[in-house]
Amino acid sequence: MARYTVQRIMQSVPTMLGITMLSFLLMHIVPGGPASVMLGDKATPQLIAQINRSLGLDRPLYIQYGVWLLQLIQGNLGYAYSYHQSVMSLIGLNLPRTLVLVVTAIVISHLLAIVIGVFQAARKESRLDHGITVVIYFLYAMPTFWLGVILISIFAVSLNWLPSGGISNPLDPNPGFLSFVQHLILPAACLVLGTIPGWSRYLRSSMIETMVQDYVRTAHAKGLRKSTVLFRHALRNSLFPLVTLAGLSLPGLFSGALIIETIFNYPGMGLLFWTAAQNRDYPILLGIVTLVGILTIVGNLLADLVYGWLDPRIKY
Amino acid sequence: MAVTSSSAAELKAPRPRSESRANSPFVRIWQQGLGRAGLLIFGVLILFCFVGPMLYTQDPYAMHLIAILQPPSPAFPLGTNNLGRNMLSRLMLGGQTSLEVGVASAVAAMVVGVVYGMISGFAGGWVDVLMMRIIDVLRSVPTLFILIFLDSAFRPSALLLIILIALTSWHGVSRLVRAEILSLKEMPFIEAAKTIGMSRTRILFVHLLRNVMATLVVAATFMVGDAVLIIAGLSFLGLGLPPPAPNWGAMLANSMAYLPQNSWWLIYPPGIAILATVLSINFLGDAIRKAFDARLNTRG
Repeated sequence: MARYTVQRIMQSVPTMLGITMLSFLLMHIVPGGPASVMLGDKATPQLIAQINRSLGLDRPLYIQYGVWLLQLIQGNLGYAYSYHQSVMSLIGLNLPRTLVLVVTAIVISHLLAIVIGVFQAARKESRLDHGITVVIYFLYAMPTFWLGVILISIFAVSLNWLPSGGISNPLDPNPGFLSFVQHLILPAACLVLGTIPGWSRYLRSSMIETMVQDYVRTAHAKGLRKSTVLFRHALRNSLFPLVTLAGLSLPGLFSGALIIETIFNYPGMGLLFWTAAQNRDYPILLGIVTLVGILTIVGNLLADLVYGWLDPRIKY
Repeated sequence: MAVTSSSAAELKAPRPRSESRANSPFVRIWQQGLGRAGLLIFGVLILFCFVGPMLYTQDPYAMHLIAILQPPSPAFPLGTNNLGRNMLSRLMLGGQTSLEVGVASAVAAMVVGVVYGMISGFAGGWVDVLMMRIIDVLRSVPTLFILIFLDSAFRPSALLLIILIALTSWHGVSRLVRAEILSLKEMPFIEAAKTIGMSRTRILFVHLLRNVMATLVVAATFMVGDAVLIIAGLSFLGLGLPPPAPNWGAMLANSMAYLPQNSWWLIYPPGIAILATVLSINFLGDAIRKAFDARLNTRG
């Protein structure tokens, strides 16, 4: 296991380097290049020339990349001019909020997808199974942003049950933890409804495949109750691949979070990214692209390691 | 002799026709409930967006300032927006842009993806490894983030947007094509083609490409749906297609500001249009996949 872990980590290093190269490339294809990236709206030809000299942008590209990469490793993502702050401190502030949203959604989605998938597999080809499939088809094609608008118009505007956006501090006694949960419900629901279709479809077919296995028939034959067979025997083995699937859905989850944070004015990394795009605050944009890429790779790595730990049949 | 030949003719004559009819992909798609629903919904959408404006000739840009934010009425079947513009006309025109740009960027992404995947799969060796590594990188960064970055840097026209979407969403197709090429290139018929001295380009573009066609048609169908969603999403975020031409995503974004007035007629029609488009395309994609699968099964 230890050897596999090290091997798997080493494998993801080239991809991470690739992501830094991609960011570096993006920085250079912006009209005006990195100098205008740093100066933003204040860019004049004189200032650009000055910055190019002082930052060594007249040196060969590979040296520039090396210097930039060293800074990156030290956690220096540059300075966000529209906020007068370092990009790192901005991300440090906003990333945890996005993670709260995404992790909450992952947990709830998994639970619901399991319930739906198992139920559908247990009543395979029944009228109810087909009905749920149709609903899932609809959810699958549903644009996240439209779902968000509908949720706000129903639950925030018409019924006035939940806040339409924003966030509140969970540690602050006033307005307290409940308010934090209330602010989280609609954005998280939006993200959950977007992820359930794929996962529950997957679990349904995975369960149906498992249920024709010999050991499931044996379990039935020795007189176990149907629910015991379903949950103790079949579900357990259908669950493993869901871990990998969650790892693979990370880019989609981050994209979903971006749109959702914008709609619900939820101050996470997505909203920060969107605002930076409006202001053309390139250091923030590039910092977040790099970080999201690295987070995705780390997420996939964790998913693979957890999978290996769950399923001892995998030999390394 | 005469008897056998006539009976053989009797047996043979009607069969090819029925077989070819059953084998026609269109018929196979139509025979499935999902495929029929997909074709019908998509057909209605096309008629609505492209033929609709010929029958319903109200100007989508005209501002009726005495009738702003009006709910549906005989004069304005889908109401008006904050500038008093006719929402029905805008929905039709907006659909044209959304569908055209969606189809165009899907086609462009397919071309990039197919060429890349074929080269990677056919070349093999370190070229393949390197090309796949590049895809790994692209897969790790969510497409939406890169698109928004490029969008904010270049503020693209419709044409540039098509190119940007193509450049960011081709890699899924590439992986599919590469995987198929990898298994196909070991097949005897490719060996035969090599033996008779066919050039690599000819093998690649005539023999291999023809055999991945089924996969490609399915992938292309789903990609149109994805592209329509991406464009709508970008426009919703205030990026994407430039104003003043309407598109479904931007129409929805505009409706956000009037949520407190409960202007449901601004929220539901564009959303339903996007949903119906993507849904019908997904139905079609699934039906096409089954149609091809079925044919492969009967042959094998």
